[in-house]
Amino acid sequence: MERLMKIDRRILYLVAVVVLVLVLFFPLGLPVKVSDLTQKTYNGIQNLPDGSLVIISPMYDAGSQGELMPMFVAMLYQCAERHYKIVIGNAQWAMGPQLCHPYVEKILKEQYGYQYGVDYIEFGSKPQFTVWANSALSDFPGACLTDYNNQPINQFPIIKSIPKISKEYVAATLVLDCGTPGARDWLAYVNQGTGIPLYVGEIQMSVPEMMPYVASGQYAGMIAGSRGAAEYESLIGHTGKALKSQDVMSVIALLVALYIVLGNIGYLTRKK
Amino acid sequence: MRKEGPMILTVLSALVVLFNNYFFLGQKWGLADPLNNWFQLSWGIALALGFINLTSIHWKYVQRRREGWFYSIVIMVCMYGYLILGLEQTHNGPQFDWIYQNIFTPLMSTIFALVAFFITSAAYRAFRVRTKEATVLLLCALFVMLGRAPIGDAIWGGWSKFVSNWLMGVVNMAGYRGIQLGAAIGGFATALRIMLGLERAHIGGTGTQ
Repeated sequence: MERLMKIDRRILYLVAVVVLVLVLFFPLGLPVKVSDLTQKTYNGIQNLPDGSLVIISPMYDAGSQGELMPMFVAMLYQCAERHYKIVIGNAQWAMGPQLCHPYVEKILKEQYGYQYGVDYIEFGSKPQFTVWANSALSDFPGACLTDYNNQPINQFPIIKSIPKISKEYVAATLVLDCGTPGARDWLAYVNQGTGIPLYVGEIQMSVPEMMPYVASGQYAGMIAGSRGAAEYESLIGHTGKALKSQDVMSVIALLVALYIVLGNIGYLTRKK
Repeated sequence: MRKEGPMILTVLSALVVLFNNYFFLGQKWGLADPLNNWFQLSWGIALALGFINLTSIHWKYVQRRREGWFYSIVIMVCMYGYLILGLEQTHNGPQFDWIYQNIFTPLMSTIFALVAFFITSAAYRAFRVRTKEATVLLLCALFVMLGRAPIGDAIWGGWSKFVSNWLMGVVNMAGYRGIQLGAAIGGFATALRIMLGLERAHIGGTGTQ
């Protein structure tokens, strides 16, 4: 039994890989029940007034896109279905807008017929969040200057709808967060002062430390991790990567639990 | 003046930003606007400095034929090659974007995907019920982990969700509230010390006064 404590880690990795691959080919099809938090987030965004303008800020890079990209796509579908005007961009996370751009073009332009500069705009990534946010609160076009394609942003009609970030012009901010700066910086510099509701998509690792903000109402809603993304996809009726990955998540969780139990059986039965 | 100069700059900048953020007149006058622009410039300069520093370090490795010096050449070729491509094409350029989407992004995702295997191995080796507290921690971790995956619902029905939500929404939240309050107060105290010149580590001093 003591040998259970000394299993070669290569065997552990091999078992994990085999199980992962098997589940990909033979999915379990476990149902995903929607949590109250995800439902609240969905309802909040769904019930914004018609013709609202929302800012979607993908504050992440390639490392976190596995969890956050499905959320971004789901939010994009939801906003497009409701015909909201959409402004996409961030500060200090240079990869975010570049990773999202293909999906934005495919969903907004091709599937929903959104017109760039009229119905939506991408302002890319700006340096230094605190500086950008402080400027955008009084002069959004001045804070951005150029769009994703380095064109002067003032030439686009949609910019006239958002002279500055305030509750008068922006109905909600949807922030996908994986570090600093992130949703907390949006809250501190933008949402807390303006009163604009903040909806957050968060990686599972950071969900525990964001719970106080959800409980206090500072976050109007939160999509928590890959499971939250899967729940959100089921709510909008679009099966994306998050829903497809839930079986893998389940199996890996079970495998980790099994490893922990095996290791502890070996530990408890060892000769002292 | 070597130490007093930076300290005076720090204090003056902090006062300007404070006045700008907390007083109506400060916002009306836009006192911090030039500072904000200089801050953005300094960020760009820091990036360039990083470039120069990396080049200097890796060039030394190549000159001395340090173990793994070939990888230093690879780093510099990739770094300068991508820089030149980016300057020529901007981020919308076809080759620049292709490298970004098809090489850089998958590489970054791969690094993070490896974490999953490290966690499975670490869970097996490190999570031991050595004490009562460790046992409680372990049980909580198991409940939260399984509760967040659909398998938890399949095994325990609604119980896993209930326990997982209670642990996250009550126990964890209380703990994190305390931590964040403490961190915020500590950060405020440190900022005050820096503004008053009591903390000198950031200007090459020997620490605190």
